[in-house]
Amino acid sequence: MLMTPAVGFFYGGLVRRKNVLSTIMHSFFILALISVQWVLWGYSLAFGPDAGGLGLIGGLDWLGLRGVGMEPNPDYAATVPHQAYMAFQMMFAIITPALITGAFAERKRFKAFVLFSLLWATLVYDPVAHWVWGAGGWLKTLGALDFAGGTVVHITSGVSALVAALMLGPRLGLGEEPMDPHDATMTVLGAALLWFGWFGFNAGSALAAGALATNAFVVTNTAAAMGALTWMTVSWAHHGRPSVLGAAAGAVAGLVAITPAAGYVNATAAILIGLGAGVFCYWAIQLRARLTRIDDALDVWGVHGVGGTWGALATGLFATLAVNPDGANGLFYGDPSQFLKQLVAVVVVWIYTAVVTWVILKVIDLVVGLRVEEREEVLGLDTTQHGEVAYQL
Amino acid sequence: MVEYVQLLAALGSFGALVVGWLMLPASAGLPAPLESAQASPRPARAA
Repeated sequence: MLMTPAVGFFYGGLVRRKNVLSTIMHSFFILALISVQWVLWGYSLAFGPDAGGLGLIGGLDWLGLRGVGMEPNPDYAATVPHQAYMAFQMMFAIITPALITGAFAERKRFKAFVLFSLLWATLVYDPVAHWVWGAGGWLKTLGALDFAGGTVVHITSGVSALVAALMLGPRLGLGEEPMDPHDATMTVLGAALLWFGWFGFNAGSALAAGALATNAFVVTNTAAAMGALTWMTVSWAHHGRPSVLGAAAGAVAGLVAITPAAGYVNATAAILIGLGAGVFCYWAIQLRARLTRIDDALDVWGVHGVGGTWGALATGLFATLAVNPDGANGLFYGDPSQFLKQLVAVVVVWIYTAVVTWVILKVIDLVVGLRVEEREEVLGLDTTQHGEVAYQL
Repeated sequence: MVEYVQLLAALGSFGALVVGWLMLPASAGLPAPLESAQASPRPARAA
C-alpha cells in the first residue's frame, strides 16, 4: 500500500512547485478510488470464474466480494485466505493507473482524471489481469510468464501513458521555459520507498515465505541496484555528470524490468536485466524527447513501457526451471518457444492497451474535456483544480 | 554452461561500469554564474 503514495512522492518532486499537490493527489485519490472499485467489481472481472470460457474476462460471480471469504482458493493461493489474496492483488490494481498519471501531469483536468482512472481500471487493467493471472486466462493458458506484473502493470501503464501524452499534447512552454523538478529530494525519497515496497510486490508474489520468495527478493534488489548504476553511468557519459535523479529513475527501471522475471531467473540474470533496463529505458527517453513532441512529462512510457517490455522479453530469455519448477525454461535454457510466448503477450497487451486507452480518452474528451484551460495551466493545478497550495513560504 | 556465460557477462558488465566511473569526468563543473563571478572579480562599490 505504501507503493502508491511513493509514486506520488516520486512524481511530486519532478513537477513544478505549482503542480505538486495535484500530482500527489493523483496517486492518493487512486488509492481510494480503486480500493472501492476492486471490492465492488474489479476483483471479480480480473480473477472471477471465467465468463464465456474464452479466457478474456472474469464473470460477475464475485461482485462485492460475494464468495470471496477466508477459505483459501486453490486456483490462486492454496495457503492464504482468499480475501488476503484479493487484498494483495488490489495493491497492483491501485498502483497501475497511478503510474500513468506521470504522463499527463501538470495539465489534466481533475474530473477527466477521475473518469479516466475508473474506466481504465475496468476496461484495461481488469481484462489484462484476467488474461495473464486469472484462472482460465488465455495468456496464462498459452504459457506466458509474468511473475509480478511486467505486462499487467508496467506495459499497460507505460503504453497508456504514451497514448495519453499524445492525446493531451505538450505542456504550455515545453522547450521554451524551464520545467525543472521542484524538489529532487522528494523524488529520491519516493524512489527509495518504491524500492522497499517492491519487495512486497515481487517476493510477495511467491505467496509464501520460502525459497521462491527469497529468490524474488534477491533478484529484485540486484536488478534495481544494477539499473541505478547503469542509468547513472550512461547519463554521466552522455551529460558529463552523475545525475541523482538518473540514479533514482534507473533503480525504478531496474525494478520494473525484473518484475515479470522475479520468480523465474537467477541473480546473474538479474544483473543483466538491470543493465538492459538502465540502457534501454534511458535511450528510449532520450529518443522520444529528441525525435517527437510527445510530452510524456515524467517519462512513464520510457521507464514502465520500455522497462516492462524488456523485462517480459528477458523472462523468455533467462527463465530457468532450476529457479522455479512451476515456471519454464527460456531461450537461453533451451526453449525458444517461451520467448515467442512472451513476445505474443507483449504485442497483444501493447495493442489492446493502446486502442482501449485511446477510446476512453476520446470519450472523456467529448464529455468533460481532457485538459485544463490555458490560464489554469499557467497558474498551476494546485490552485485551479484543488484551491490549495503545497508550500506557504 | 549457460550459468557460466551469464556470470561472465554479469562480471563484465559490472566491470565496464567501474572502468567507466574511473574515466568519466570527476566534476560536473561550476554553475555558469559562479564561473563568471570568479573569472571577473566584483567591481568595487562606488563611494
